[in-house]
Amino acid sequence: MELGKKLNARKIESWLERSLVPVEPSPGFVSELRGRLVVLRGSRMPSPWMVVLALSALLIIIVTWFGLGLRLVLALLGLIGLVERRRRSTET
Amino acid sequence: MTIARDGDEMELVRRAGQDSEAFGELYSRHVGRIYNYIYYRTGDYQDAEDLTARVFQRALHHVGSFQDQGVPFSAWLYRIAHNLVANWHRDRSRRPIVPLEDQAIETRASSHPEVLALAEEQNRLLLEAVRLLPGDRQQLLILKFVERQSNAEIGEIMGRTEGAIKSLYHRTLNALRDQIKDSGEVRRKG
Repeated sequence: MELGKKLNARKIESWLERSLVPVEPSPGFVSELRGRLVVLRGSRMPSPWMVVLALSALLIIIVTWFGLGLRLVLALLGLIGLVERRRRSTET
Repeated sequence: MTIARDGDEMELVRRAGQDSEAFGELYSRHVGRIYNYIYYRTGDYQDAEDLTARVFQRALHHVGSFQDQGVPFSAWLYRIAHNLVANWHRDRSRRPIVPLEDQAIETRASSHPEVLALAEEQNRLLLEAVRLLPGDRQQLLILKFVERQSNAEIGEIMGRTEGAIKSLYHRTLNALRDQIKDSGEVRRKG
């Protein structure tokens, strides 16, 4: 063991050069992680602007349908009223 | 890293918030370096894989808010990795040791069993000593010897000046020398 000898900075540096060598992650891990990241990106929360846009579109659709429904109900009531008035006039 | 490459990288980072391919390219460029950094900080392949995955998951969630402040994208990734490793150490509150048989050892061409055993023992001793250093000194050694980065590049990543890195490096070597001597004496007494 070199410990008995005097350790200097140069010796420690060469020792570090031999010990701290790059290691490769396994190819399976690298490709599997890439796949997981793609899935994560796909399931990511939409941006707040997209949420606001979607909610606004939904609100417009609901209001439109509600308006249409209201018109239909009014038309139906008007028709009933018309029929009723005609029936009363024929009775009198 | 050249200026052209820096510009190219920042363009990728800008696109990565929306574009999967851009993020994939950034991932391919940096996954090895981040893995190496975490591996040498934790000493375990499985923990290195787990933490590397978490670094890139976090990066994916926050890359859209990344702001170019003149530091390389890798510095941002290293900072995420550094924080996750610090949490990992805190959770375990112990310093793990690299399994000797897993460690890549580069020795001089010699098939003599005694020489190989000695080299392995030295390697193990050195890595144990490195892991007893504070986190920033470990980071410096990993960037310098594993990543072969210059002092200026290390300074950019660690947010310090080149002079501060040189100074930290010399203090680190001295601390490492004392650490190795101490552990050698303990072994001799034992």
